[in-house]
Amino acid sequence: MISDEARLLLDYLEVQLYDVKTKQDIPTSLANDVGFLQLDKTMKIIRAAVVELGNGNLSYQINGKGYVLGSLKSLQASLRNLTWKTKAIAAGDFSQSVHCLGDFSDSFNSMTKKLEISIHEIKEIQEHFEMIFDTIPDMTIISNIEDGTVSAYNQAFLETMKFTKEELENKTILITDYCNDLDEHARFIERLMKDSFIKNAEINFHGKSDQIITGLVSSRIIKIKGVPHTLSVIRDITELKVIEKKLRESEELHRLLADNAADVIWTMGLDGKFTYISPSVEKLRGYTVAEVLAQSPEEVLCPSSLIHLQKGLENASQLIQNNLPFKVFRGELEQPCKNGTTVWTEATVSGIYSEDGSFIGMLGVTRDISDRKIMEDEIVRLSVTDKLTQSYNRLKLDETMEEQIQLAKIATVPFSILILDIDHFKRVNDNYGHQVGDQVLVELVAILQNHVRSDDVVGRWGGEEFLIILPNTGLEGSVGLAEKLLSLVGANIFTRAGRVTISIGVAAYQGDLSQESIVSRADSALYLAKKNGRNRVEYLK
Amino acid sequence: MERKYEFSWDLLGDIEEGRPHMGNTTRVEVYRLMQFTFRDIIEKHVGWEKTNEIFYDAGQLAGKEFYFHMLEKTDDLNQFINQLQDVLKELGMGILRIEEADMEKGELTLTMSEDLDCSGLPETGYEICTYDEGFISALLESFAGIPFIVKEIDCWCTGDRTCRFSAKAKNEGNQSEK
Ligand SMILES: [Zn+2]
Repeated sequence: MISDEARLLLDYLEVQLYDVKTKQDIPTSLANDVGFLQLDKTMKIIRAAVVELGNGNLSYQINGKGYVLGSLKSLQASLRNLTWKTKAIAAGDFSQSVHCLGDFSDSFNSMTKKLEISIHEIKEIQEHFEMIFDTIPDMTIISNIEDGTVSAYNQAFLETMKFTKEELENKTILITDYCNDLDEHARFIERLMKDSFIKNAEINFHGKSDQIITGLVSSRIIKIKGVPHTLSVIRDITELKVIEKKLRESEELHRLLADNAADVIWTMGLDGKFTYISPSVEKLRGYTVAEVLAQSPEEVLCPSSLIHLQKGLENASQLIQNNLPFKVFRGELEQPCKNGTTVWTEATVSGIYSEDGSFIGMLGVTRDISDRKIMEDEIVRLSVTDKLTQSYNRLKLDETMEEQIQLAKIATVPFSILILDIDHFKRVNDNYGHQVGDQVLVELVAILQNHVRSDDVVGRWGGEEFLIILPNTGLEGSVGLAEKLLSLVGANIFTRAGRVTISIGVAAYQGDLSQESIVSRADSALYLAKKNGRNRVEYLK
Repeated sequence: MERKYEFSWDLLGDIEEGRPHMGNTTRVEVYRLMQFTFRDIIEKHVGWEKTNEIFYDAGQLAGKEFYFHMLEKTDDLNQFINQLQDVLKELGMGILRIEEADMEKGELTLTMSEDLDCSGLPETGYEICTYDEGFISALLESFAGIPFIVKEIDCWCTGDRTCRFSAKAKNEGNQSEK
């Protein structure tokens, strides 16, 4: 049994220790006891300190001394130190560690370590990302979808937009300020919201200067702190566009030139098939482009020219196979036309090579040379024509006789010649003048030409002397022709000069080694005819 | 006044050379024996208060020398504290912990557990770590470049389990403290 006083003390202590409310007076018998009051004070401090610590209040000032309070202070100091360390860690000082809180210390320290590693990793990733972000050769920006503010941009953005870093620092950049077409931008965002990403959309915008930039934009929605942003990579294709346009224009120009050139421009593979031919071919040959593209080489060229093409293709194939450069070919070709005629053309053919130097095909330019051909023929004709009589001249006669002498060696029937001279031509000139004389010569040639055979060659031998070469004709045949011509001339009434007669000397080939010998025999025969009274035919027996 | 033993770090001697077998450690009792016999005799000569002052000043001298010889200069408080913690622990002087530090206000609360001077001492009711107070004030002054007044607010000797120091930058106003 304990005394009532002790019971009151116990009750008082129980309330202090167990109850929430402590409104209980100190037992009256102890109310003035200095020792008890000191104890009571310490007890109340302990109670208050424990409650505060229990509630997490670390700044509660624990006043008082003694072992238990000291331990509480020590705990408070540890917790406060922990707070300080946590703050230091939060500020990035991962060297902080805890040692005086038992198992908690290890957990705390490993958490710190893990945090350090994680933050280090995140930092590395961030640095990596920033590095990539900044070195992406294409413009890269992150912007807020709501208000269009650009929160990050890279070096390429600055360079393309022609901004300096300083100009944009601490400045709000609104993406809409640089859009050329706000509706286009709105549609872009709308589509992006729907699909959450867009690849390679072509959008026009402008940088610091008003110069229009064309970009290929690829965007994706990302969330930064919960707010939707666009991450956009923009490839500047402005220059590409310009080049593309130029290329298109130049291609068009080339096509235009080819299509409208008078010359025919074409490309051909080594198989001899056209791969392109300009429309001017229709004007040249009457065939349409489609028809020509379907033609075989045999249909494109006349046989004599086809040989050139076949040989050319063969050579080209060989050169290409041996990695030798294509030899430019230039030649005159005869081509069949749709209307059955032919046309002479000059083709210049060169090789087409790709950028890496490999042979692709041939490029040809074909030009109509009909006019030139006519001209050339005319020049040739003029060179062998006697200007006055339009019969052949001495040159042609010499050539033909030389040919005939060569041919005579193998021919069964060799050739003959007639030399004829107008009788008393001097009188015609004297009586009627040279013009009438000339007219007689012209009219005489007409008679001769109209009555010789097509292979016979009539030419002016000099003055009023003419020479006719008669291929494949013996003496008998040629004398016959001479007699015929003699009577035709004799029957003709020449303009103003009236009747004119001729004398003819005939000579047939007799194994002559040169034209001089046969001409000399004919001359002798003519002399004989003149001597025997003119207007007659003579030959040496 | 003629000086015979003006302190210099050299006075600590070449311990490696001088104590090839004993090494550079000794027992805490020996340290305390010297400290408390000093305290006893000095107190007899100059009284309690003056003794505290002497110990505070000596601690300050020690702190200053310690800072220049044992720590690497830094402007970062955390780095400074970390270094200090490591050195104090390594030298067996105690476990230093920061409870609060506001360098802008110039206010710090720090604790020294297992203090070389007083941990385990019988309860006397008086804070006894005046040497530590001076020591800490010199360290803080050396670090921050401004003088600090350090007061021990809890001590093993007053029944606490750890020594707690409150440090305040010394303003022009409260110079009389010391
Ligand atoms: Zn102490």
